[in-house]
Amino acid sequence: MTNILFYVLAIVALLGAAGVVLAKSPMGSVVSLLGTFFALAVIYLLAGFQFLAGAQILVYAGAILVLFLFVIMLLNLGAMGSKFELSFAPLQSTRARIAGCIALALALVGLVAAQRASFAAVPERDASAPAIDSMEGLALELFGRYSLPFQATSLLLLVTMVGVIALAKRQRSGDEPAKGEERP
Amino acid sequence: MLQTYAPILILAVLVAGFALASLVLSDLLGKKRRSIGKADAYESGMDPRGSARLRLSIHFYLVAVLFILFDVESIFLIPWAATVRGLSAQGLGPVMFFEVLAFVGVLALGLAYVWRKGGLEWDR
Amino acid sequence: MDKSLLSDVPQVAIWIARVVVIFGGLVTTAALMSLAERKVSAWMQYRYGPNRVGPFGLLQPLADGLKFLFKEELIPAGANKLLFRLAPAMAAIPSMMTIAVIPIGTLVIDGDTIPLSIAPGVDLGIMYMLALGGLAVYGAILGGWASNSKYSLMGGLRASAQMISYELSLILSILVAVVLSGSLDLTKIVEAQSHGFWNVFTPFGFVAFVLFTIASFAETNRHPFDFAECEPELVGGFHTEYSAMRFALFFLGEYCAMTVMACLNVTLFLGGPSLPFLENTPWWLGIPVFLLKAAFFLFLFIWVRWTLPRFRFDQLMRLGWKVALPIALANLLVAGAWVAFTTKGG
Repeated sequence: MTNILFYVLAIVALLGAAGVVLAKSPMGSVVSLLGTFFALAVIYLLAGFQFLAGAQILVYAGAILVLFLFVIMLLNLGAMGSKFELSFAPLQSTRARIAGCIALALALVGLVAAQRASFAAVPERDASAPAIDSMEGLALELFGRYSLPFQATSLLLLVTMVGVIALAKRQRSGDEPAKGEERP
Repeated sequence: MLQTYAPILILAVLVAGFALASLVLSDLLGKKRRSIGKADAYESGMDPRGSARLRLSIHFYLVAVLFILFDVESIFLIPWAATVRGLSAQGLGPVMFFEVLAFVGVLALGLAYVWRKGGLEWDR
Repeated sequence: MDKSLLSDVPQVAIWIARVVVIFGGLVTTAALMSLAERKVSAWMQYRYGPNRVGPFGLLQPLADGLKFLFKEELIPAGANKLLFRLAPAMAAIPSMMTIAVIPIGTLVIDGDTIPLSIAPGVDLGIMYMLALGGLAVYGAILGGWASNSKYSLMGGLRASAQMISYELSLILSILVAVVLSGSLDLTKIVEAQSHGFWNVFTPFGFVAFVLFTIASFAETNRHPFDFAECEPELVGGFHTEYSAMRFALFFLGEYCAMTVMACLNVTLFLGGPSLPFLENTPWWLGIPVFLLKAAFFLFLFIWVRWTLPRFRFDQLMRLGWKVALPIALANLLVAGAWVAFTTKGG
């Protein structure tokens, strides 16, 4: 049962990923990506990682894709066609082919690494510790061994905040709103 | 895992079936009479003018990015919130609290910066 | 008798029975809410409200449903047909799915205790609710965009911006209940409160309860934050161009979301099926108590609609980002500090 579900979800995820590349309108790409994210989350769930599955949906599907949608509308890219169409044009450019080859090579490296299970960088966990997918195990790792990366994350988020303000809020002379600026 | 989530799977099938059935039934049963102007977008009785694909204000972009940042923050707070009671009994409460305080403090600093720069001002 | 009545019933049958009962209850509640909305509005304005179909108009939702089925489904010119068709389902499905982890109470049949909840074993119930609840935003934004209409687009944008803004205060106030009860499992959160001491009785629990209630109004696009469909400005908001069953699905989704929010509020802060100050609540009293509490919040949604004037959109954003979010963050930290420094090792 788990295996069947896994294959179905994997196919959904792959189809969604193909849809992201091939959809003619960016809106179609976003909806395909939503499907991929959702299928991935359920795959995590099948593997027993409930928190990861929830975080995947909460952050990627619930937040980042909304940003994508807003950006598409901001740039007014959405006005192409009224149907969901596929376009194979992106596959014909040289750049796309090079990118595809690199992606394929990386995927192969990942696959070989997974096959050989060479996770030497991650030290063995002590069997008596709470399981890593339990909240307690996660908290112990996050606030114990990985407390420095955890704190660094907050700095990263801070930098992003400063960056987005620098991008979105250009300092205008006198800090007055520009004339004729559209209001929502 | 499958045992726990099997009822949710059943619910998902039921909910999706319900939504799909009502859409399909309505499609089949509903009348279809085409006439001029019926398919026009509603603009309070006037003929629609110009494109409906308006460019939206930069504020929406700003709100979405800020949302992602604080969403990620709350994801990190979830393991803390769930275990603060249990791990405090093991004497880890204060250590974890100060770590979270530092984490949230940095982000609060960010919020204060955005606030100061007018990033939370909707009408500017 | 050494075998209980339920020991021969296969597990799958119990699962299906629970799904059918709870999902049926949710949809019925949502349908009745559409009637209650009009009835209560009418009483508050000294009118009768719907009273022709069935006694007291009780069959009105059924009549409405049938009528929705037989109406013409319009698709505006230039609309994206696939997304336009998909959006109502995307709005309704997440809010219907979130009911799965709410513990409504327990049934004791012949000595066997059966939790009345679709999936009582999900130990990250809060994560599940947050993740699926966050997806409801797509129905609004895609429906608004696909309609190819200015009102719909603006309504969808406003709805999504307001939902994501208030989701932060919502998550942070939910986490206060998690801190106080020490679990992400809704069943355990209820258990922690089952001895008569609800989370709302603590000062931080109370602040979180107020924030959660405000955020739940914003999340469900209800008055006084109903900018998505603020009639004088945007006609119907993101569902301006929708008709027939597609329109009905949007509404059903909205009422389901309200019902789930009411249930979640009761579960997190008001002790779920338990009575206050009582060491133990008998199981047969639990379910009616839970339903009554949830019904109060559903009534509150309607009551507030006819009591408070509508905000302005910039006021809503200011309240969300400059008031609710800082208070929610500080409140969570205070609650966490309280638990971290007062829990003694044992």
